[in-house]
Amino acid sequence: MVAFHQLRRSLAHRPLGLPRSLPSYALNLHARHSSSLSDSDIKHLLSTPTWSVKSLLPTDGHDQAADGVSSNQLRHLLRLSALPPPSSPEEETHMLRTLDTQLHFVREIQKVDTEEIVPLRSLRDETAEARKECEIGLDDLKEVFDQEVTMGKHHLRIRRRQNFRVDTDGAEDWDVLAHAERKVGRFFIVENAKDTES
Amino acid sequence: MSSLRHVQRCLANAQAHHGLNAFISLADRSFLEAAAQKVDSIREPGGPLNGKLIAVKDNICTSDFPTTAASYILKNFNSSYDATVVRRLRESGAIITGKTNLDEFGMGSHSTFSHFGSVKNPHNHHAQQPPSAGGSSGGSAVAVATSQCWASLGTDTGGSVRLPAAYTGTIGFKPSYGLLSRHGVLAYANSLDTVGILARTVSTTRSVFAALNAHDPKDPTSLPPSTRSRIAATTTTTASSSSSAQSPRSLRIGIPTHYNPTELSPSIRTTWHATLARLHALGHTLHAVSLPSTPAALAAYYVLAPAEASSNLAKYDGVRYGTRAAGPDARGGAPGAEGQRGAEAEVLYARTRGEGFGPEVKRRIVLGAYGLSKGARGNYFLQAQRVRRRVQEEFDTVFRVGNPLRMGVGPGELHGGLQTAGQGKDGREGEGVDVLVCPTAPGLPPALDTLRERNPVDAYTNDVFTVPASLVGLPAVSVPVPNADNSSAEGEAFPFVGMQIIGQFGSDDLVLDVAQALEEQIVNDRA
Repeated sequence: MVAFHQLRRSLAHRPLGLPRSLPSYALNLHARHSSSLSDSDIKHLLSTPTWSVKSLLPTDGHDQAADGVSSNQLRHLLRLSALPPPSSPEEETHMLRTLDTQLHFVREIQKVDTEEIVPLRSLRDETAEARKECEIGLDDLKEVFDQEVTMGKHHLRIRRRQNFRVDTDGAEDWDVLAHAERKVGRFFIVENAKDTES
Repeated sequence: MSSLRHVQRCLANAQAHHGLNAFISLADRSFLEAAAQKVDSIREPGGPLNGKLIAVKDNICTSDFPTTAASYILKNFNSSYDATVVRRLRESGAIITGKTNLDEFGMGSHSTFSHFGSVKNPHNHHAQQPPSAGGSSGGSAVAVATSQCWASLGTDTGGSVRLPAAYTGTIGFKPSYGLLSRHGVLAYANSLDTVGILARTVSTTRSVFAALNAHDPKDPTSLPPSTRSRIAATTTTTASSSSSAQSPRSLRIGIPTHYNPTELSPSIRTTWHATLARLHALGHTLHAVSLPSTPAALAAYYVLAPAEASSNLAKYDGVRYGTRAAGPDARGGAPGAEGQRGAEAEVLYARTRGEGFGPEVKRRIVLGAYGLSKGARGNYFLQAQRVRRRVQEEFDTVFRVGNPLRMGVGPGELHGGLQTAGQGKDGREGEGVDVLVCPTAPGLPPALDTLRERNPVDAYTNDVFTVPASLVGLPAVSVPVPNADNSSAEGEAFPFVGMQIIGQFGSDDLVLDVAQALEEQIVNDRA
């Protein structure tokens, strides 16, 4: 059962265009042998391409309508991106074709069997030590809690001492407006035109 | 050589190669000469960077030049502070010579998508048209290749330092993700963006790396000191007993079979073979390894990077900074009346963004928005992150040392994953490889005029050998090796091919050791 599962995984794993029969030494993968490949092995290995980059690009007869993005979808994406809608039907056709080609290209990821795989969201230290170091405990907050006083007898309330200062140097002492092209006093200007047609 | 003479030579080269368009802004001659004289007047010898000219890619903030990211929207933007990497260069005595040209926000492979015009490659093997300088750090690579500076900084998100290095015959080094600070580097795809170094020699590259390699509390993705010491413990005990390149012990070198597609240029295949033969002659052993998710890795990159870009670039609205379109920021009814407005009503800031961004940036923002949109997110964005994990597992399977970011995280603990080569079931060590050696790019630099006729997606395939290391954050360096192909016209015309050395996460020194060994061989051949 386990063997079958692994076999299925390794087959699903094989990218399109990879020949089923590789040279014998290439099958001896993960370098599970200690002796070096000889010069003639290398020559043979390099003369045997394993896949084609073209497999990622749409072929000439590619049917765009089958999986294409609609005009409405494109306009929605442009609105989400705060970009202007296409200025002409030609531009729209061009944009749709580009997006379709891009999507064809990236759809290669859907051929990989990713069952049971935890997504890699960012590169960070995932060791137990690192996770422990990131924890925030009571000790880390002691200084803050020490500034709190509990008031009242029947109805307990927590108050922070008045003289407690949070150090915001370097975080809040910058000039927010310094780089703005249009401003009035301490305000940015954002201008909305009246709809002249309605 | 005195700093003043060094500066004067670089400036003469800058004048001679002005037409290559490597710089967006360049410091005044008088300013640079004064800075050099000041360095020379101090008798105490400084570090290796002291009095040297270093160019900085224009998506890295500097307080004394504009920082444009080669975009119209930032053409007049002046940062009020230096990026941490720039501050560290200055503290090491380096003089910032100027800001180099690039693909807008780092999005491109040929340094042609720039508001300030294309960068041109100084090595011209096409009869009329100059070849591509590679991208997106094309300006930084050309500035180094033509000795307009001593070294330069670039950024590498999916190959943007290594590819231009390969195309211009320079060293291009992308360190492990999180070693160099990104504070003050304009984000393109934050989970992939890495500051990289371009130089003419490996030893220069090392010097710059040493000056920059430190934790920065201002960058939340900068690896903390605790992680750095864990990395040092892993890589010194198992991998690198030889920190000096002079007596490199016998290494196990991996040949990734999936870095050999049908489209690989014959010159590059021949030079790859010659490089491997050279390393074999040095006493290293060669082993075929399988990284079958390589095609999927490229596709995953073009989901993840645009998705992150669509988010990172959302802040460019022209209100707080940046160049604003003339007139009102939106047309079509009162804000909040969304439902009543027609589909053609303008979105707020859309005109500024439409005018401010170039075509490739817009294409990637829209693609990224698609990958994140309701309905597509699971099959695109999340699936790409799962493929990214798969790619990481495959690299971990191939290397002799384990991944220091995942030590003790058993494969079974997170998922039914693959076995690590260095930590096989039976506990045997030494079965995996130390480094991978493969080409940096599948082809020689194309002529700039042929790029215009191509579909923009075709250019994405250029990144196929650089993207996998970026997804996993691995250290990788491109080294120029003489073109070994003297049988074809293509081979005769272009003098070198970029060869890439990739190592396990954190084995940056080992990767540079191998680069240096290769470099010494080439120098010996010439002598």
